[in-house]
Parts: sequence; C-alpha cells; structure tokens
Amino acid sequence: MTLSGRFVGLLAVGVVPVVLLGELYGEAFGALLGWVGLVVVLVVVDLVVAASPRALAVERVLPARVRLGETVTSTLYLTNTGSRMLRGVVRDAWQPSAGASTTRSRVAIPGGERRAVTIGLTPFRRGERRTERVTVRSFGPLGLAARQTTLRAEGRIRVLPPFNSRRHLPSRLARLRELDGRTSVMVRGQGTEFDSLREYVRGDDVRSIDWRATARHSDVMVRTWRPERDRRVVIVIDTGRTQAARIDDEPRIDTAFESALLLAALATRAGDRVDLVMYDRRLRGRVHGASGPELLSRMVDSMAPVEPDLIEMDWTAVPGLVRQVTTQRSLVVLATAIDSPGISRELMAIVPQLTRNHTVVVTSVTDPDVAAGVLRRGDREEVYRAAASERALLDVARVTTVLKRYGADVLTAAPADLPPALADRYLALKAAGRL
Amino acid sequence: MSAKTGLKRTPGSPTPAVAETPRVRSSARRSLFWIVAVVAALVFSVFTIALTASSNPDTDRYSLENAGPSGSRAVAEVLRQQGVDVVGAASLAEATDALETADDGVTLLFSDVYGYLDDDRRAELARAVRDSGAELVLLEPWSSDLDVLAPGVANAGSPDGDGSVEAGEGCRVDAAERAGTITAPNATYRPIASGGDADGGEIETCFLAGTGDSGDAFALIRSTTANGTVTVFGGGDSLTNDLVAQEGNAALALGLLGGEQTLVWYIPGGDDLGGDGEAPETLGSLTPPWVTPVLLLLVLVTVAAGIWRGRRFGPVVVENLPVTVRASETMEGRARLYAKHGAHGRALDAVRIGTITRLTSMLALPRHAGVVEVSRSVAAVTGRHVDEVYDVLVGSIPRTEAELLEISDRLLRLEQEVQRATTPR
Repeated sequence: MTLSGRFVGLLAVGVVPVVLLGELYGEAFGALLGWVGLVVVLVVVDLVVAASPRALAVERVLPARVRLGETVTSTLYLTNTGSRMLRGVVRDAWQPSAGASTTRSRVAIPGGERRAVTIGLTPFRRGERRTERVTVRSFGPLGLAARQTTLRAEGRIRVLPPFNSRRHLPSRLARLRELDGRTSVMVRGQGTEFDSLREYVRGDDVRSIDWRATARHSDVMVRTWRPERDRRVVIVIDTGRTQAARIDDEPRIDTAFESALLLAALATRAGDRVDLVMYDRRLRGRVHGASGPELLSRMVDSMAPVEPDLIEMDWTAVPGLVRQVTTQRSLVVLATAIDSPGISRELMAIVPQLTRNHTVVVTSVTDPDVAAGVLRRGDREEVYRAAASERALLDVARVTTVLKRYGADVLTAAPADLPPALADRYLALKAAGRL
Repeated sequence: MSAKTGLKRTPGSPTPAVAETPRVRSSARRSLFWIVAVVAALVFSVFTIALTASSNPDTDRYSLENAGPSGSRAVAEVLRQQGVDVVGAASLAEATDALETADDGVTLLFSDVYGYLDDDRRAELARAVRDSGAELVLLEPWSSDLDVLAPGVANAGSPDGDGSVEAGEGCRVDAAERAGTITAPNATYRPIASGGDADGGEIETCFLAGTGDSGDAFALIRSTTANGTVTVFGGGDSLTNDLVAQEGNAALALGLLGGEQTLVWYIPGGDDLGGDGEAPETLGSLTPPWVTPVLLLLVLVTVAAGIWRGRRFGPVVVENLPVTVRASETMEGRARLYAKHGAHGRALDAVRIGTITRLTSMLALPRHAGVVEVSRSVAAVTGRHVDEVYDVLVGSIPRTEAELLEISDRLLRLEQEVQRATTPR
C-alpha cells in the first residue's frame, strides 16, 4: 500500500473546515476528527475498489544481445487477468548501467486486456545487464492510495564489446587481397604456398620461372604463389588485475578485446583458424573451432561478461593452454600489460617456451599521457613528472628488450592505435610467410 | 546488432506473475507478536495512568479531603457520623452560600493558613457571619484576621514549651474542660484588656501555654459578644489526622465543632486571590480554539507526505561495479616522490637516459653506442662544441632545483636541434 500526493493534499485541505467550524461553532476538534475520518474512509474505499496488481501476467520481449553504445527496445506485455480496470504506475527494475530511458511508466489496463510498456535501453557498460522484478502500483478511482506489489519477471540482455576498430577492417582486407596472387614481383617470402602456373608476362621475376613446365609448354611459364592458408592464430587475453587500469578512459582489457576482434575478423577472412583464450588464474572464456561470422559472434559473446579480476595473472599455465589448443606452429598473441620487469617476470619466464614452437606477439597498451609528458618540462612539477614518465618508459623498454631477445615480437601503442597495429603486424607476418 | 526474438504467444489465458510482496494477511500474521505487544503496552500504560490519576493526593493543611497526617479528614468523618452536616468551602462565595443555606445553627471553621484573604474579604466574611448568627471558630488566625473577626483577642506568639497543655482552673469552656489536656499549640493568644468594650462581652481563656510581659498566653480564647460567639484556637495540630487521637484532642475537636447542626469548614483557596472573580488572560484563552486541531492536522499531513515521498517503489536494484584503476597513478606517485624528496640527480638521470635513447635513434647510431659517441654525433649535427654537449648529456651535476630545470631545458633544446637537423626537409 502507498499513498499519493493527492491524499496529502486532501488531508491538508482539512484546515479549511477545521478553522471555519472552530471559528463559527467552536467545534474545531470535531471537525478535525470528522475530516480525518472522512479521508480514512475514502482511502479504504479507494484501496478496496482498486484492481489487484497480483492479477497481472507479465511477459517480456527483449533482444538477447546489444552492442555497447547501441539502443534497443525492451517491451513488457502486461495482461490484466482480473476484471477491474487497472490504473497505475509500473516500474521495470533494470540495473542502472542498463541505461533504461525511463523506469516508471503509467498504464491503464482494462480487465482481461493486454498492454505493452516499451522502454529504450542504452547500456553503458559491457556484460550482462538484468532486471529481476516489476513493481506495480495500482491506484483506486479516486487516486488517493495505491496497492503496490512486486512481481517476479526476469529479463537479461548481453551487452557486447563495441568493436569500434571494425572501421579499420576494410583497408586491411584490401591489403590482404593484394597479397593474394602477387606473384609477378615475387620476393622470397611473399607467400610460400604453390598456387598455379601461368604464362610469363613482362615484368615477372625471372626467378619464379618454372623451367620444367616451360619445357612442356611452348610458352615460358611462371609459378604463382599465394599466402599460406589454414594457419593457426591463438589469442591469449590476460584478464588479471593489470588489465583493469584505465588508459584514455578505456580499460586495458577493452583495448585487448578490440585488438583480438580485429585480428580475428582479418584472420578468418584470410582463411586462418583463430582460437581465443581468456585467462587469469582460471579460464574466463574460450572460443575454439569456430570460423567465419560465427567466430566473431562467439567471441563477443564470451567476451561480454568478462571483467578484469583483482588477481595476478598466472603465466605459467599459458604454454599448457596453447598446447591444448594446438600443437601446430601458430601465431600466439599475448594481450597483456607490460609495466615493469618486476611485474612481467613470469611473462618473461614463459615466453621462451612459446617461441620455441610458435611465432609470439606480445601486445601492450601504452599511456599516451606518459609519452607526451616526457617532452613537457615547463616547470618544476612537470620536470619531475617527465622524469617519472621516462622511468616508466625505461621499465617498459627493459621488458621489451628481454622479450625481443627471447624471440617474441612486442607491440606497444596507445589504445586507439593498438588494434590496427596488431592487424598490420599480422599482415606483415603473413606477407613474409612466417606464419 | 541486436537479434530480435519474435513475440512469443502463450496458448490459452496467461497466468498471473509470481508476486514477491507478501499478502496483507500473511504479513499481519508474521507481525502478530509485535501488534499484541504494542497493544498490551498501550493498555498497561492507560491502566496505570487511570489508577494514579484517581488518587491524586490533596495535601493541603487542615483540608477535609486530606487523609494524610496534616489533613483533617478524620475529624470531619467522625462529625458526619455524629449527624453533623459538614460542608467544605474553598472560597468566600462558597462559604457565604453555605452560611445562608444552613437551616438551623451553624458553626464556621475558618483558617486562612496561606494568608489568601484581604481586608475587604475578611470584612465580608465577618458580615456574613454576623448575618447568619453562626458560631465562628478561628483556627490559628493571623493578627489581621483577629483585628476584623475577633477584635478582643491579640496574637501572643509561640508557646513556651512542647508537650501538652492543660485546660486550667479558670477555663469555663465545656469542650475544653472535657478535653482536659491537649497537644501543645502552634500559636497562642491573649485577650486585650479593653475596659470600655462596647458590647460588654465576656472572654473565656483556656489552655495556658505561656507567660509574657503583656500577660498570659492561651491556646484557646472564647469571646462572646452581641454579634455572636468567636472562638480563637491556636492548636491546629490537635485537629490533624496525625494527632487527633492523642491526649484530649478528639474531645476538644468534637466539642468545639460539633455544637451545631451544620459545620462549614472554610479554608480559603486560590479563588480568593483574584480581583473581581475574573481570572487573568492566559495564552491558552487568547488563542483561537482551532489552533491545536490545525497543528494536529499539520502533523498528520507531514506524516502522510513522508509516506507519500518515502515509500520505495519496489526493492533496491543491486549491481556489481568493476574496479576502476587509473593507469598513470604509479607514474604520478613516483613524480610526487621525486619532488617531495628533491631527488634532482635521480630525476635528471631518468630524463638524460630517455633523451640519449631518443638521440641515438634519431642519429641512427647503434643501440649500444656510448655517450661519448653520441655526444660527438650531436656536436657534429648541431655545430656545438663536443664538451658542451657532453656536459649537458652527462657531465654537469645539478645541485639545486634551478640547475635541474636549466639542464632539463638545455636537454630539450638539444633534442629539438637534433630533430630539426636530422629531419629531411
């Protein structure tokens, strides 16, 4: 039960009869009792006549997924199974970060009929957003008091990573196509898989002439090559505590997701097989054996609920994880944070195990503020900050040097630049035939 | 990219959703204990208040209703049992009314313990007594009372000793003679030897309680004049519930007061204070009658408004929020540590290492090139002297913060010059 503003107003209006009767007949107390009694009777009548909110049947229609930043409509169908007209307010209790346009809606549902309550959802946080209850206030005909009931009506929507870096995809795909069949100016490593034979045209590399085939034909024949296909790409995303850090108002893990999505989209078009592992001390998500559009949808689905945990990444388990995925030579991308030799000790310890069998790329987000702070040395504070920035960069450089010495490739860039940089590195490796 | 699922239509009539809010009946049943407890507490307190209110004690001295030690209820009750009509009066109006309505003989007991009456009222009382022909008993009167009501008697101060006093040889008051001895009085009186008494009344004195310069002091003096009989008695204690049973107190009390058919027991109260019987204006009588109800109504409105605004629209929604860590925090912290401790050397080292690393890559020198080699290349590119460049890059040691800033600026200039020189135009 709850009271309305109208009830409060009605009660306050009682001042008029109390003053009038008190002034004219000296019956102020009688007037007060009478007025309060009248209002209470009205409220009781209102409550008794109001339709029961328990008679509502609730049905939700909701898309299962939404990409972060997009808006979807959530529809709530309310069926009044009772016979009385239900007038009231409905609150759909979405979590705050589901970004509901409004949580309270006025409804008027005649007995036995159904009405839809539509609200827009613009989630502003990745993951699973949910609502568990619908609260209904059913006002009586006088609008003085309402019956309030909370009904169970679960709803959930999965908010996927935005994949903002997909705007880089067309240009990278174009470059991938350029790689295909570029045999005429063949450089060693442009692609090592035999594709076909064709006639020599002026400008082709004479080293690619297939003399055997030339002997069988009347023309000079050249071999064409294409980039290798069916290579394996294993993306390992660190979901430990260092990934929670925000750089440029984006957590490192989101940048890692963006990079992984762009790389996966590119690699699956290039015919490679992509596997994703998200790990800190336990397996947080895994995508295995998917390709094409299914790969991306499964990746975003498994990424959606993953938030960095406040625990240290266990790198010693990573070689085992990679071995589980494939024993074949593959490109292993480790998306993590390179901060200082102390924090990255475990990473440096396991990289040699991986580089023995695989091509390893370690990606890390660098803070553009740190890089810019190095050259900003106007006053005392800024000089000290520049010194601290230099020290931070030096730490990163030391780890990078060690990792490079162990045979890994290290990629550090600002959040916006990292995904395309990783895609470019992949294309370069592909062009060089090092996959 | 939201894949919309189609509208699911359930066959048949929809079933109502499961409600989480308990029904009124079940929540009432659950809180039954508390309801019972509150009701019991209310009943208990109302009962207690009713009990204590009924026995609100009357603690006035010589009051008819006071059953305590200082009251006189015992005397009044015994007189009533003896057939005397005892009438209590708390104001002059009541007393005069009682005197007028009394049929037969009447006795008026008057004791202005708290000195409420003024002279006018005393005169009025005296007139009423004279008109009704009542027998007047003054209990511990003040001198001002005596002046008006018993002109032949004067105050004689406190008695000489404690204990009890005897009626004495010359006492010819029946009641006093029967009593014999009574408790020592609070006040004593003596007759004024006025030879030229117009009325020629006679004066009886009993219970000698002291001797003084101006004559003997007595506890009881009766003067009989043409206006009636006036008995002045200084031993009020003898009439109290506490002491009435001792000595001959009871006999004196009954004899003094039970002589006539009616006894008017007049102890002036607060009503005798006022000017013309009208109480002064109070705050309560000045405010209009509707003010209190309106205040009550406003309290109710406030409570209702609290319920209106404060009632929650369903349970609170819970959401786990992710941790937020600013990445540059460690860097900022280190900068502040440098600044706090004035670590010029350490700070400059870091800046120099960074600068040399960048210069090395700008000048396309091998990564492990020494500082001397870098200095030479920089000097060659910028046209500065080698020693000067070396001094900036490694040599000079900052002693103060100003020097740190200066070297930092020179490093920056050097870097810019090299960059300008090495960038192809």
